[in-house]
Amino acid sequence: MEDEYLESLSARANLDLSEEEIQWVKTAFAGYRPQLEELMSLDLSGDEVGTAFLPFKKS
Amino acid sequence: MDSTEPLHYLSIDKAGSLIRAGKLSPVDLTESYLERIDRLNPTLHSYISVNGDSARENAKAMDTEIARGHYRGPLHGIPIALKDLVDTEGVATTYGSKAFKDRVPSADATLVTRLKAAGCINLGKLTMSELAMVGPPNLGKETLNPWNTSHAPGGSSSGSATAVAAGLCAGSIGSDTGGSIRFPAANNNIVGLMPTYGRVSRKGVMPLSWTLDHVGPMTRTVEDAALMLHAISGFDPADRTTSTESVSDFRSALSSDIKGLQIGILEDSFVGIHPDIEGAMENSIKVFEALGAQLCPVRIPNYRVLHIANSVIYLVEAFNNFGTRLREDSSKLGKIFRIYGYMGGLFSADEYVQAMRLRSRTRVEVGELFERVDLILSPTTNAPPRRVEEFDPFVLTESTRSASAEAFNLAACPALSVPCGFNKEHLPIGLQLAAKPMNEQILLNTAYAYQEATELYREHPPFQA
Repeated sequence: MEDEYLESLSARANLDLSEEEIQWVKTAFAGYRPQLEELMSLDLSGDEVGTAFLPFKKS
Repeated sequence: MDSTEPLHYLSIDKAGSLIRAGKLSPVDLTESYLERIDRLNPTLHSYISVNGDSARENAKAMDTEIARGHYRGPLHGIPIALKDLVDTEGVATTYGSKAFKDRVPSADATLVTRLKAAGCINLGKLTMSELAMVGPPNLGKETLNPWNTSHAPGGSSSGSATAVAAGLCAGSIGSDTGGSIRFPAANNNIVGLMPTYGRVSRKGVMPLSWTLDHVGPMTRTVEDAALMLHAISGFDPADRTTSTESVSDFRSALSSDIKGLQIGILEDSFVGIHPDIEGAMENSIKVFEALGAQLCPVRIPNYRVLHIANSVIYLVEAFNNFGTRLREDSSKLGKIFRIYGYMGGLFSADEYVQAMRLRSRTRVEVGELFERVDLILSPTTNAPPRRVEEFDPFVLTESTRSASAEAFNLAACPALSVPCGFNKEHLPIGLQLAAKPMNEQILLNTAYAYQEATELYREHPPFQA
């Protein structure tokens, strides 16, 4: 993960991370990134947020 | 007394019958647990705090009630314990974190009120991973697995599992956002039940993720899980997520007849699992077949991204809950919670919404599976309990480590772990069963049939202080 990108994300979240914490977050992001990219590439058109607690069948 | 089990290993079901018959006193039962806690807890660290005096007082009150002919039901005089994220009036509830070490709630959680009304005696609060994340707590000492103290018990409901397994309480309460009841249950040869979302009130329970958190019982037997679930279930006006669906008497309705039941074997969950787990699962499948169930393979689409979807949702929600602490007072939070807490602040709104959309789709797809099968079977964990020193704080980023559990948090379905064997080092292994929402009875019946066929619950940890 590029430092500038992490800085922008941290600033948006109003987080002031230490050097050590930045390394932790980079390692976690590295583990999550391939999965996150796969998740974001899914075409989920037709699936609305908020239906996870409705009855199983779509109407 | 007509049982061959020592008092501390009596099932709730059995102890309750003896108490009702006047053959066992709640005072004697409570003392047996307190003595055992004194002896074993300094090594196992299952409890973060013990309420010895109030437990003795309550036990006497329960004795007196029985003597006067007032019997509350099968939990009358039963000593239990609570994960330290369940509020208890006037008793510290720390969430396993130094940041909350002085937090003393002014009221009981709804489920505590219900357990007390049923006659339970609260022995104390149980150690947990900090803020229900993973790994060791940030307050108190790390819980050890009573089956082998070189190994971890699993989390985040670590103390809830070990206290039950080692006979330090009759039953406990845990919480589950992505496997935190079921994983430690599997690692300790006990039953862990994550009820349907909305079945049990979470009023007074620490929120990690409003949309994924469940609270449920952890017990030595399926009958005991049924009894505790019955006591804590039902609509709570103080928790708007609770269901108005009626609560049946799960214990009375228990049946071990599962002939003709359709069980789907979740194929995805077998990929890359430890050979010992695979062997135990193969044996389990044979047991279910012998019991008359019909098994077939099933798959959940997008299985590979269920873990990241679950992670994005709960971490974003956790950041919203604990963001102020993370920004202003992070020195009191441990490394693990800081890593994942920060991640919750760094994921984007777009990623959260995409995860929630996948959740909606998964709910529909799991629903379609439940039109073909009554239950879905998988290993609870993909590997035996790790050695204590092998803990990797970045384990949560592994893609499919816990997806078989998380699938049912995402789909808001009930799921249960029941003991299914031991590995070569004699560490416990569990299997998971999941069912349609509000179908805990079929889950309990199937686990009961399996339990009665295998009798694994009869084996207890070898650990002695």
